[in-house]
Amino acid sequence: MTVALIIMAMAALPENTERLLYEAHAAYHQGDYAQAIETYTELQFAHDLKSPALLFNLGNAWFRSGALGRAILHYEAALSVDPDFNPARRNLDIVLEQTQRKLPMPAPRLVDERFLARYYPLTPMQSLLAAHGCIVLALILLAWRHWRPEAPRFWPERVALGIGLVLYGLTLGANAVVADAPLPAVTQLSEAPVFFSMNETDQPRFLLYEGDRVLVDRLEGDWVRVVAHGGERGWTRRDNIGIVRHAVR
Amino acid sequence: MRFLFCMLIIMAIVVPVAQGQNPVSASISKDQVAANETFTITISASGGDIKEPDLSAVIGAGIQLGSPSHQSSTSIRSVQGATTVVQSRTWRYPASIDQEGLVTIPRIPVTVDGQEYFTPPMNVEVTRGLRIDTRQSEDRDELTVEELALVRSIADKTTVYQGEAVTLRLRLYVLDQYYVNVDGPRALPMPKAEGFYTGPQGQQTATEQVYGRPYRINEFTQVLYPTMPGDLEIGAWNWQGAIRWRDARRRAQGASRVFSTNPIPIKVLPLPSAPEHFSGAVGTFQVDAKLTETMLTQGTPVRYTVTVSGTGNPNAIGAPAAPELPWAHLSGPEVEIEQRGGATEVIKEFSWLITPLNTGEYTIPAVEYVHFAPPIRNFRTVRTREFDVAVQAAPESGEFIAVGGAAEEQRSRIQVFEDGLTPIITDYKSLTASAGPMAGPLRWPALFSPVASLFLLGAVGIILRQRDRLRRDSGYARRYYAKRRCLQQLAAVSGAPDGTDRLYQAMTTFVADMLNVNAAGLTSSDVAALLREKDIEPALISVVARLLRACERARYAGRQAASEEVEALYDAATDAVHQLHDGFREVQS
Repeated sequence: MTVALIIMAMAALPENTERLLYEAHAAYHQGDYAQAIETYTELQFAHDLKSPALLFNLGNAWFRSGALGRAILHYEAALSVDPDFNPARRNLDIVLEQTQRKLPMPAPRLVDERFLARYYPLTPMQSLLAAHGCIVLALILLAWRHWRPEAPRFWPERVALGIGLVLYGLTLGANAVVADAPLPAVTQLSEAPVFFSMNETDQPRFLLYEGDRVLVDRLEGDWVRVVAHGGERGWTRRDNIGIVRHAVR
Repeated sequence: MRFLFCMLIIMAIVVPVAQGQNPVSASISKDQVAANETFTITISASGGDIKEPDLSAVIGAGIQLGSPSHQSSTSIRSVQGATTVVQSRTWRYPASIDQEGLVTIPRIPVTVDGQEYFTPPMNVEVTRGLRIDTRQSEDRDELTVEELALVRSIADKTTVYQGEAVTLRLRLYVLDQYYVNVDGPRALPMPKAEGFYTGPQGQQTATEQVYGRPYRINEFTQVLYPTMPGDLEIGAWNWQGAIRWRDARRRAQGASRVFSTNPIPIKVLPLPSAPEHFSGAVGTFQVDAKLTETMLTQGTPVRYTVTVSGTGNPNAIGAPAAPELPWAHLSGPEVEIEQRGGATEVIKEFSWLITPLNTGEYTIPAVEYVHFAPPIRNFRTVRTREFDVAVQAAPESGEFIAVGGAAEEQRSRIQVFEDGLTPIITDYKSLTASAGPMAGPLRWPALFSPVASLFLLGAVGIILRQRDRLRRDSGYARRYYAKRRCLQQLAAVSGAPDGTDRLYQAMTTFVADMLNVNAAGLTSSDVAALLREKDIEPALISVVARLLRACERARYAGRQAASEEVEALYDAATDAVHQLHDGFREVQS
């Protein structure tokens, strides 16, 4: 009985997802962007869809409803899931043209002063794959040397293994750096004041405008510390900005 | 008379002893110093309870004292069961004297164990300056340590208006002869400037003739802005340093010195009552305006920049009032400051984005900038030029795009047509697919997956190495296979009806294989002899021989051994095989 129920639920889930997707598309095409956003968001969280295409559609819906900041946030989220997702990049460029300052995203390497963050060119996944490749190569060379006793040297597999171990060490380091890296974020309000400290009674240090892209390097309760393009830092309310990683979850 | 003589004798003995018990002592590092040269007064005391020395008499004698360094130690003495704790404390005071002549450092009281003791008075001879051995003839000017390096503090104005810049120049002159060098603190302390807002700092070097001698000058500039009217003061520039030089015989010489300048009084005048739209800026300023283009398109923003440039406190330069443009939406201003290090010149830009809402021809009016100009002692208004602009209709429709800083009512009017936006994706597979976060942090299983690969590599390496050795090393291969075969044969012993025979055969075959001899006809005595030849341990040979004899006895007795007996023989044989294998390996290696 239980198994039957589970099978039925599993069979019903794609149909439900498909129906909701159809409803969201229909709402979007009819100009009911609020409904489209609601349905896409439900699909994202309740149905655990995290595809770049869904995030891209959300970006479009937010843009059509006039929220440039949220549109940019979702395009950035789509690109964070798939950096080669060109539709999101294209639309992001169009929407950025309509923001007040068209600020580029601050480069995390300029903000993060750690050596690997600045100079290591590979992502943790690329580095891990390279490490695996070297270890597998070492295995193949070892086997080749055994089956072909005339193979003269012992060093190729050692070199491959050594490079693999170094790459693995760099992978661990790069992963720690990425896990602790500043988070890309997008300003959501038309004007978000940024203060020297977590005190709203201070004179604002500078203003962020809707759609401005920043990096968040600290989160403290309701406050976040942002780094704007050009390296200016300051504290602003967490509600004023949207963090790209949170938009994906 | 005799009594008086005795008393004198007693006094002559007692007084030195009493003096020897004085727990307080003092010394000076030099008894001849130049004026303002630093020397050290060292005060030492020992006892159970020691108070700080009272230096009021020393200061009263015109001796400047710095912060002392302090050392203390504690010792415990036990004499005939009585334990006493004795402290020893030493203070080292850097001191300098600015008056010439013979100066007496007065007695310094120190309270030890509740009783006041005094240090002896000490004399210091203070000269105008230490003469330096320059091997110049006597008729030429003598050079003193003070003349090797000196400091000056100069303010460009002493009467200013509130907010007007005062440039303070702190100059260190170092004689450009005799390899003179000055060692000072890592970061030279700046004079106290209460009531001033500190502006940019700068540093430059120069050379100059002073009193007919060449000097290298290190000049530190500090711009100060008075924040309140009244009589203010830029404090003295005081710091301690060491001068090093080489005399005529190129011998390294050195002396400590306290460098000091006089404080500078500054009279700050209040600003007259401010007119309307006073920006808060004090100084000399010009304004200019720029517009990126004059042919505007409805809904397309253009940047309008007002530049305020001149000399003054950049933080006091307030934004000018934005031009009133009923035909456009204005957002900003964004502010950028450019200031040259150490100088009072500043350029501050205020830029607005103008988004035309209506078509037609309009004028962007001049922007007025009101500031206080100290040279004319009054407020001054400067103006930008006007811009005539023409706004043409947006190509798509009568609707428009308002950019940035828009109010809610503005936002609700945003419509975008033919914006070139890529439409939404409706493909089900694309929407439900998920891509791995290539740039994000890795999860634990992925992160530690190379460990599994490394284990696999290690295991394969060990196996291949073993196979390789078996192939190359015949002795090792013989031992390895002999042991393996023997252990397999022994495993078949238990429960077999002819267990002792099998065990005997397994053991003799093992020894024969290991020694590469024929196993046929080997007896226990033969095996023992062969093992002795190979220098196997006698105890192990004895065990093997006993095992084989037990098997021989069972065979010749014509009966089968009990299963318990076979089990015991099996255990002993297994142990013996392992030990023999190890023994042969040691012998052969």
